[in-house]
Amino acid sequence: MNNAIPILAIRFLILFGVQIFIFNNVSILGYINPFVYILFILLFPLRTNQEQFLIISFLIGLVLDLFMDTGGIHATACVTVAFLRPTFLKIIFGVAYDYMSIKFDFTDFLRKMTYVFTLILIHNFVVIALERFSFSHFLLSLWFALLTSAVTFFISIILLILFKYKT
Amino acid sequence: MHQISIFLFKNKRFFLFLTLSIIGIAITVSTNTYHRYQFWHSASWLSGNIHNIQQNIGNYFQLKKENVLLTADNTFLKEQLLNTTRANINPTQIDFTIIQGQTVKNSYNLTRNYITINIGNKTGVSQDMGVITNKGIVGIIDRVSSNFSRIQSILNSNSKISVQLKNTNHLGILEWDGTDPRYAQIADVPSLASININDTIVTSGNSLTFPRGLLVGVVKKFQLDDSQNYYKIQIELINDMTSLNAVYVIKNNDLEEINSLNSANE
Repeated sequence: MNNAIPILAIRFLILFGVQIFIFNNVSILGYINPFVYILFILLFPLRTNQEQFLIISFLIGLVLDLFMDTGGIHATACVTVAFLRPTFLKIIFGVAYDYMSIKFDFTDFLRKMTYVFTLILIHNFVVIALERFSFSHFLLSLWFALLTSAVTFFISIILLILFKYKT
Repeated sequence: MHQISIFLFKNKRFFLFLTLSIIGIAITVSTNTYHRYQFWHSASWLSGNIHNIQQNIGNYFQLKKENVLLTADNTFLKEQLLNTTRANINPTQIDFTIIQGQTVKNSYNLTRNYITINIGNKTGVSQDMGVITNKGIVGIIDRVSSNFSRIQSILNSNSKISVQLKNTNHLGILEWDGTDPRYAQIADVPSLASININDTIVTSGNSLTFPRGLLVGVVKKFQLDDSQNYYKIQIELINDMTSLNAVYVIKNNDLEEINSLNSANE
């Protein structure tokens, strides 16, 4: 864990730099704003204390909220993703992930993609649900969430392939 | 009691999640109640300065375009100056003062958009002042720190600004439905008003924030609402809200006097 902290700090700075300086200014088709920073939570070390992990995720979301003027939307979304992460790890990678008998790096591509996509979808869904805060345009919101997730997923995959990550 | 504490301890991860989510949602909701939300916004020292650096770099690439706009603006003002006789302008009796600023952060793809600009308390900006560009209105100052302030953009679902039809003086309320940053909506225009496509919409001057007659947009579509008494109008905004740079904050010098009159009434 100790030598993981500098790596995490660098990853945090890079992902947030990219998010704040580039992706917050990008809006594909006029309204799709990819949230690539979520990769930080997806790639967070598996063996961290879960309570610590929840609090860290909350703070990370709050930092982004500060830059986006969105109150606590991203904080809530990040906490939700962090809370659901173990469940999805279990479903997608099997029970074994708990004991670290599989290396996160070498599991097959398809499973990794499923993992990344599901959690991105959940994150975007929470963000958009909270941002709109009403059921009046439910289908439209759903469509928004789906499109944003697809774009975020696409960019995340490119980033993951470019920088081979370690957990 | 013992049972409860064991239960809490066993599910501590879930309860932590619940608490954090509630805090997050509470912050989100209190954002809209305006006053409790004191420091967590983009006009704060940290994010304001970082956005400022970003904008400084960005500005460099827009110099040429800005220059063209400024010259156009200058020509227009010169023209007005030449057409006004000297006697008309009395510097002690100006109703509105203009404070010039630059945007450091602009957003237009959320449902509630805010813009941050690089002037604040120190230059005399305060809450509820109107903001315009050389073309038309941008929004209303919503929060001020010493060097930055935040504008509630007209592209914000909470924004409500009093406007009128230029030709007939019928009043309406400018709103935004959160979809397209090029278009906004006007509600509450009485069905008696005669509206045509491409009619100009201007500010009404009723709100003390904006002087009368500032350009807002042109009518693109209109229809009667469900009650058949009011029009719902779709307008195309004159400002391109997706590319803002130089903005002007309008300070109403009569505000105190009018406010004291109003409070004396109550």
